[in-house]
Parts: sequence; C-alpha cells; structure tokens
Amino acid sequence: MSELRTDNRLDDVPMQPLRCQHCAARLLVRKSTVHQTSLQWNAEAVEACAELGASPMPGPALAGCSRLKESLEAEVAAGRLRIVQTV
Amino acid sequence: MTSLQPDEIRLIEADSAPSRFARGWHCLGLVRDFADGKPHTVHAFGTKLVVFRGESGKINILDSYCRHLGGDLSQGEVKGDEIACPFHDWRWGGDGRCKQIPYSKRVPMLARTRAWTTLEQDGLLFVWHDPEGKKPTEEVAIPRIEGAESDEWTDWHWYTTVVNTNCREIIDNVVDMAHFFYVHGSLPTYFKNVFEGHVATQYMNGDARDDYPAPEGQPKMLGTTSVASYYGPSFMIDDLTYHYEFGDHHTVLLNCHYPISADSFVLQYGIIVKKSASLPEDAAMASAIALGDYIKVGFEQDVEIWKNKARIDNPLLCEEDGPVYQLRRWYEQFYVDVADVQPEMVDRFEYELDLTRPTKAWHDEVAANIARQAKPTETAP
Repeated sequence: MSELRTDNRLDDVPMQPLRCQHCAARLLVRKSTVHQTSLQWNAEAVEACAELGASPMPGPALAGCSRLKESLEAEVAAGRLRIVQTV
Repeated sequence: MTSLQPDEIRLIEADSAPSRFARGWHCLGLVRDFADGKPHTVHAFGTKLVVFRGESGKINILDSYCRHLGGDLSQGEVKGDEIACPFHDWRWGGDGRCKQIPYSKRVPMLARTRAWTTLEQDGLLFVWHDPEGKKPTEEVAIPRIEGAESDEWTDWHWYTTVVNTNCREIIDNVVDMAHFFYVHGSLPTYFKNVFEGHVATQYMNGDARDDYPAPEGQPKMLGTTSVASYYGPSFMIDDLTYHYEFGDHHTVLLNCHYPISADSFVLQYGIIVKKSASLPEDAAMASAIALGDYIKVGFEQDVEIWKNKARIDNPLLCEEDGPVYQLRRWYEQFYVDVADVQPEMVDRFEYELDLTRPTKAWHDEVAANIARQAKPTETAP
C-alpha cells in the first residue's frame, strides 16, 4: 500500500491545539480563512463533546458541534489562532 | 524533509495501485437482475464469481472456478438449490459445499469452495469482501434506504459501466469541490466533509448555472442540496434534492462500485425519486430517468479525465481544495488488517470550505459566457 504523504498546506501552516470552552475537548484546528476551518478530533474529544458524543452512528456523521464556534472565535480574537489567508 | 529550492521542480509521486482489495460491503447491482434462476458471471476482486438464485430463493455467491478441474460454474446450470458445473456436473450448494457428484458414489473430503457472504436489502445485492476472511460486523452494516421499495417512490433506475482505472479516483470525488464546476458544470455554494469511523460524508449545495439554459420544455432548476455518505469503501448514499421553480424533487442517488482488478472497476449508480401531488407516478419515473441521464453524463465526464490523468500520491493543493490527504488516510483503513487500523484513519475529521473566492471567480466566468452567448455570431462574408 502507498505510503501516506503529508498535505503540502500543513507544511506551511500546521494544525494547532484548541480546547473547547464548553466541554474541554482537546482537538487540533486550522483556519484557512475566517470561514474555512478544519478540525481534527480523537475518540476522547468526541466523547467529551456534548453534541457529538451523543450523535448516533451510522448515518451521515453530524455536521459539527454548534458550541465550538465560540471557542474558535475567542482563539482568533486573542491572536492565538492564525488565519492563513486574510482576505 | 528536504527544503524546497525556489527553482526546484515538483515531481509526481505514485506507487502502483494496491494489489489488495478493500474490506467491506460491495453492491453488485439490483437483486432483480440476478434473480432469474440462471448463473451470472461477476468479475470482481481479481477473480471470477458465480451468482445464482436456487430453489430456496436465496441468492448465492461462490468462486466460479470449480475445485474439481477448474470448470467455470457461471457457464453451468442451476439445478435445484445447487449450481452444476458444465464440465462434469459437480453440484455446489450456496454454502460452498459439494452436494453431489452424479457419476460418483461419494463426494471427496475437502470438497468445499469459497462461499461469499451476501446481503439482499432494499432491492440491492451486496457481497462482503475481506482479505482476512472474517464476517461483517454490525458496525459496518449498510443502512436502510428510506424510499427504496416504497409505493411513494419510483423503482430503481440503474446504470452500470466498466472504468479502466484504479477505484481510488472515484473516491477522491468526495473532497474534490472545484472539479464539480470545471468537469461537471455545477456551481457549488456550500461544501463540507466529515470523516468518522467507516463513514465519509460530503455536504454540498449548489446553484444552477445561468449560462446553461434548461432544456426546452423543462422547468428551470434553481439548485441542489446534497448529503452524500460512503458507508465503507465503495457504497455511497446521496440524499439529493433538486430545487425547481415549482417545488422540490426528492431523490436518493446511489453511487457504488466494486473492483474488477487493481486497474479496473465496475461503476454503478441507482436513482429513486419521490412521488408527490405535483409529481405523480409517471412523471416521477420520467424524472428519475432524466436525472439518471444527467448523472450518466457526469460519470462520463469523470471517466474522460481518469482515462488521461496520472495516478498521484502527492497532490499539490491550494487552500480552496478539499482534504484529499485526510480522505485517503480514511480510505486506507479498508486496505489494512483490522488489527492494523490506526486511530487517525477513523478519528473524526471535519473540513468546511470557504467558497467566497471560488464563487467570485465562477460568477465572473458564467457572466462572461452569457455575454459571449448574447453576442450575435459572426458569419463569414
């Protein structure tokens, strides 16, 4: 099987840690723009999340947690989360 | 990692397509196409299978090569609940055991061939493939499709074709937002991916393109809303709604495939359309067929690209591209033993695209096309 290579975009700006203000889930985040976000969860973080932890599987995965937005905005406002492309 | 020099050329890297086939449920097509009591040949997973329905009514799948002298069972005949080899009439049951040899007193020891685990659900026939030989778990069960085999929906409109490339190409479509504009003439307005466990989901909304007028006599389509999920490596269910001037058409689109070899696969889609007061039986079926034709064109557009493109393991991506690497990391889980599935292959990953920049570029392009169309065509003097 092919060796898994890394995303060239992450070479430039990697994902960085984030802790949710609501549930304390620890995840990795990267923001390309104000409106473009990638989130890397692990099993522990999903379990901690009030919305995702309760999501039934299988089925289309729940699109996301509605409460995480505030934490993301706070990180950006505090200058701790870099936005790759500011328009 | 070596540092890139400004004048360095980026090279395409690609290992050969894997010789192993994915673990998972694969849809072979409609039950009704295999249920005629005749043996059917299916080339899949690098081998040949025989699919047949015996007296009991159950559809069975066996390795097609007879363990006696290698005859092709799919060229044989269904006799009772067994498939009879055309070479010496050895009779094989759906459980893989040789039941009788008409010219012999006794069936030899070890007269057992590979019987594949099957599933008949919602009018569809599935086969389970696992290189480790294990049975499917409840966790990876294919979900039921609301509307399938319901009076309120049409029957399946089905299409099958062979594509001569490795099936990773079609998986990449899950994240390839921009190709929906350039290859398929769609206009995405919202795009998000979520991968978790064995499910990979694409949320996509789109607008109709004003430079592609509706066909004569057809209502004007305004846009689409789609939630499409792969359940395992090869079976996608797409809840797809078409928004028209005079109401919505609710459809379910299946997009599924099974590998023939490392470099070819059978691509299939199926579509059902919900009937409504404004869309009675015949109109709904006509809509299913029309939408099916439209989707067929879409697949042909993909195939045209795949026929000529290179396999690439190190795609060079811009910020407006989708999560190709993370999708392939998810897809890798089906190509390793269960014990070797790593947390990062199944951990939840979300990626929501900002379409501001693509939308602007594409609206400009559409406007330019409309302006060009409006100009009277120049005629030669």
